[in-house]
Amino acid sequence: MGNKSRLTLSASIAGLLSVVAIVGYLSWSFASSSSSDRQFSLTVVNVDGPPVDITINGEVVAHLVCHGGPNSAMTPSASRPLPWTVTVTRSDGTVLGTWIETGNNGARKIDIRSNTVYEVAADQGGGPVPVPCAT
Amino acid sequence: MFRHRFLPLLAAWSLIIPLGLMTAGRVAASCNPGRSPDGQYYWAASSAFPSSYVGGVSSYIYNYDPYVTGNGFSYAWVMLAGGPGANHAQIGDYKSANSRNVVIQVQNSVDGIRNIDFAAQPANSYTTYKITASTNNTYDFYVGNTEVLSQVRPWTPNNAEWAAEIWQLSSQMMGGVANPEYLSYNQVLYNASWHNNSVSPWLSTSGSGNPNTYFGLGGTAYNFWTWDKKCAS
Repeated sequence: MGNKSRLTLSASIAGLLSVVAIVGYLSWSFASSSSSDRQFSLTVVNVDGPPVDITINGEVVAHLVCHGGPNSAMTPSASRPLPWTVTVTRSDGTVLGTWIETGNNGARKIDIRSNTVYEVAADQGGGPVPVPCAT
Repeated sequence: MFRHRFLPLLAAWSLIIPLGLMTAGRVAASCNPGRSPDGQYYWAASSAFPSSYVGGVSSYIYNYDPYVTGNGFSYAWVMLAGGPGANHAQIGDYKSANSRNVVIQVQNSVDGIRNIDFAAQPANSYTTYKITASTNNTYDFYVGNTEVLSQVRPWTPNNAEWAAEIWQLSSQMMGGVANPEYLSYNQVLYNASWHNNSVSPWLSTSGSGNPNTYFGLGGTAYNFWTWDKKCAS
């Protein structure tokens, strides 16, 4: 094999490797950006609010106190398909908020801040630092 | 002759360019703390109520590029807050799993919550983030000396805050043991002049765990720093 052929071969291999590297990089990038936050889930965080019940479609699914344990993200299932009507209720029966979750807006979060409750994208800031738990 | 001289060079560049692309945008400071998501917030923060009316807050904040995964975030910010509920105006250096930005968040009971994103400041640099409020409830947000947004919101601030915050314990608190996250020259505007913050910072969480297990905190009210104990730098 002559010098010219060897150079052509090495350039071809290098080119092939670079194509593989670029494709691999792009695949990695797309895999990174298609993380779970594009899929619907709902997490409720009782930051400094009163004790509350969380209901989905009329069924109580969680009782949350502030400074409670880890919160698991809730996801749709065969027994609990979307859409969800989610309600946050104080122990005295006062409804602090109700939302319809259709699953079209990615991962969501409900923050309970004192006696105010709001629903946001899961990766939005949590607001002011906590104050003593509301009663 | 041309091909003999330039084909090896071309071959070398064809490898170097993709390798460069693969490492572009990575910052050595980012570190996976190896923790599971827990659906809770964590703060290294100071919060001051120096007067019934607070007209501004500022801090010289280290722009860090932390590790974030899933739907978590890591955020270093200043805030004016007050009134019923969680009314607030906030600006700072923010990182989610998908992007790094300067993020402004405004929230009140009438208009709800809103995030506005701007281009991130360079990682490993420092930027003064500042908010001022006028008596007609106009909030002006600054990145360095540049005003980036003005908003009118129907509430009055009585509280200034400075914090580094994460959502999900799987996220890295900004800063490592040898390269902490700095919130410096922390000042609050009241009675028509700027004052140094005098409230010592603390670690807190919305959950039941002890944040001291995971994060460090040093300094004073005027100049404090925090770090993720799982990360060297």
